[in-house]
Amino acid sequence: MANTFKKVIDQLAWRQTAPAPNAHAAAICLASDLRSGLSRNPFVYQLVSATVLNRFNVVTKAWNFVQSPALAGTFGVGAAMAFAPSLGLVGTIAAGATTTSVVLTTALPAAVGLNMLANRGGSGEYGFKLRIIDNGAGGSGKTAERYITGNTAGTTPTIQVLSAFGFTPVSGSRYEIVAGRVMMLSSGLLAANAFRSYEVASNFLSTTLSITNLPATLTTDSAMMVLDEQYVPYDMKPGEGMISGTYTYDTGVETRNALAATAMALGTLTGQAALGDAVVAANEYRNFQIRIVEDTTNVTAVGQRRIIASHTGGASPVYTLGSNWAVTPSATAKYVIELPNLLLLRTTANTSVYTYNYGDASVTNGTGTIAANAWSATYFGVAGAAGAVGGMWAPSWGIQPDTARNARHSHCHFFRGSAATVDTLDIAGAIAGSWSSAIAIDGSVALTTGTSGCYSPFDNEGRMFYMNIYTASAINQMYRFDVKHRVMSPFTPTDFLQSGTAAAGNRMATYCAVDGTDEYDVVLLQSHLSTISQEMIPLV
Amino acid sequence: MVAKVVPPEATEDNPVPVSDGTSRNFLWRILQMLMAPLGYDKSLQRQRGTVIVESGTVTTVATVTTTGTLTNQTNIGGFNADAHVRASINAAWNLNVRARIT
Repeated sequence: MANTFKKVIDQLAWRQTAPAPNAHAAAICLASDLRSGLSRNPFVYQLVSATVLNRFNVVTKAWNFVQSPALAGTFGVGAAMAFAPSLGLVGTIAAGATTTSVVLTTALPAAVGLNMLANRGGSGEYGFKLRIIDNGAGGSGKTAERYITGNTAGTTPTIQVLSAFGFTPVSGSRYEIVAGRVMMLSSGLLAANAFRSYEVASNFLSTTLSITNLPATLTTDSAMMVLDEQYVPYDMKPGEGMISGTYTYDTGVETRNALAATAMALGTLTGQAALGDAVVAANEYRNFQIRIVEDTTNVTAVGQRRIIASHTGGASPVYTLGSNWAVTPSATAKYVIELPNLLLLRTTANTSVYTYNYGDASVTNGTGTIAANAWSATYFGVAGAAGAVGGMWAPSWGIQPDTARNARHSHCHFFRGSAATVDTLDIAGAIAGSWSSAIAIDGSVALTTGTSGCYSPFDNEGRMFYMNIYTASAINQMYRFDVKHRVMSPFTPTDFLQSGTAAAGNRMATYCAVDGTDEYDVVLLQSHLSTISQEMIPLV
Repeated sequence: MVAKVVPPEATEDNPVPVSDGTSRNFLWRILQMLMAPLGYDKSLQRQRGTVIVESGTVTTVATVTTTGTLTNQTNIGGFNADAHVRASINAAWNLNVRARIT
């Protein structure tokens, strides 16, 4: 790291950045892409109302209006937003691909302009990321992720990429443009289009997202958490999953490694005998997904995703899948273990975990099943207590577990709100997850209305969750929670004194600053009831 | 030229006349008080006082010795005051934080 900050001697400070177009008011919330590395979407999104969605360019430090999300319901307290990187644009490719281009068959939901996919809008350094899974008949059985350098216009464009795939994709293979979607939930009496997504590559605003199984009415604080396959520990790259493997399955601007299977059956996969996942604890990754990233023998098996229902621990772990393979991979297929592409919602006044499947296929762990574009209030079990004002999720997927596995990627802490209490959902603790109520933490502070927070998984070993526990006119309202060690500490206060009658909403977002091989956390705070925006780069 | 008339002391038995030359002088004294009211510093030929300005514009102030509380300062030197504040904060950030990232 090129970080020469000297602890105790040097002093952290917030810096002022451009004011937001709209002042914070009750229910306004921020969300950002928590991917590490170059592929992360370089914007923070600000949901202001049912008709205003803004964004902040993290590179150029400027804001602009995006478009009206036209949300149904009555926008107010209870609204929430999150960013989901994966599975926004998927389909199959046509014949005519080369080693550096593909032609889409499955139409994009909205026409794209010429070369529009070759610039993500940050500072123009890279285009959106295209993943090609060469699983058509006669394909190579490989997966490649490449940055887009050009595209024709329309809904089925020809797309050029920065470097060669390493194979010539065959017709019928799968494409995924891993750009991302802003998931937006309105409040009040929910109706069609109270829950919508905005896809950032095609600028497509969804029209048919389900609200079935959500509460009929949302009028109190909500908190969303995305468990996306692109979200990985701080020292891993998107596409590598949670456990470091040594088999390099993809080489491009970034190389990606995978684990190597040692045996395979219709409903099981056996992991490595040494290194990699040979050290997992039993069921440590239950409810995570296995994704086949290379199978040069059974080529049509590559790209399959399955939820892990259970697994043994130690060398050669046997993963029992929630559902059988459609095409059984070969015994030496390469795979990654990833988060399951689910969105979890908690809202106050109840104990339910509302789980949304934003993928294009159903997920099942053998007990619970959620169809694509569907919510379930039972896939994960109910918490021990209802949430309250200021409630927030603080996941742990950015850490590396300790040797004893006391801290795990599956631990999702939930600040219950209105109090200092923290509950933990271990999504692998049982088939429906398991809740531990009121866990012991060090340095607890009671949450209040107006409390905001965001997980920052890029630096500081992926341990830190930054919080503004709002108290009008108090100097000390900034804290951070170490999700691995369960310690809350006061954090560098802002120069600007936040004040005013407490109003709900999430005013914090984090993103990754990439400088060569160095990555830094960056925390954005929109000041309470204000347009004033500030950034922090925590160097310690 | 009219000779100066010094009015006698006004007492209960010698009330201030209201309709003769004496009363004219009494009105003169009231006029003098209005011309130099309490708080008027003859040496500076300026009014001195502690005031609350409810609203309005103070065009130019030569010296402000001490200001207890200044609730808001919108502009400084033709620039938005918050631009100055931001510049100051960010200069400190550059010195203390940015300089530690090499």
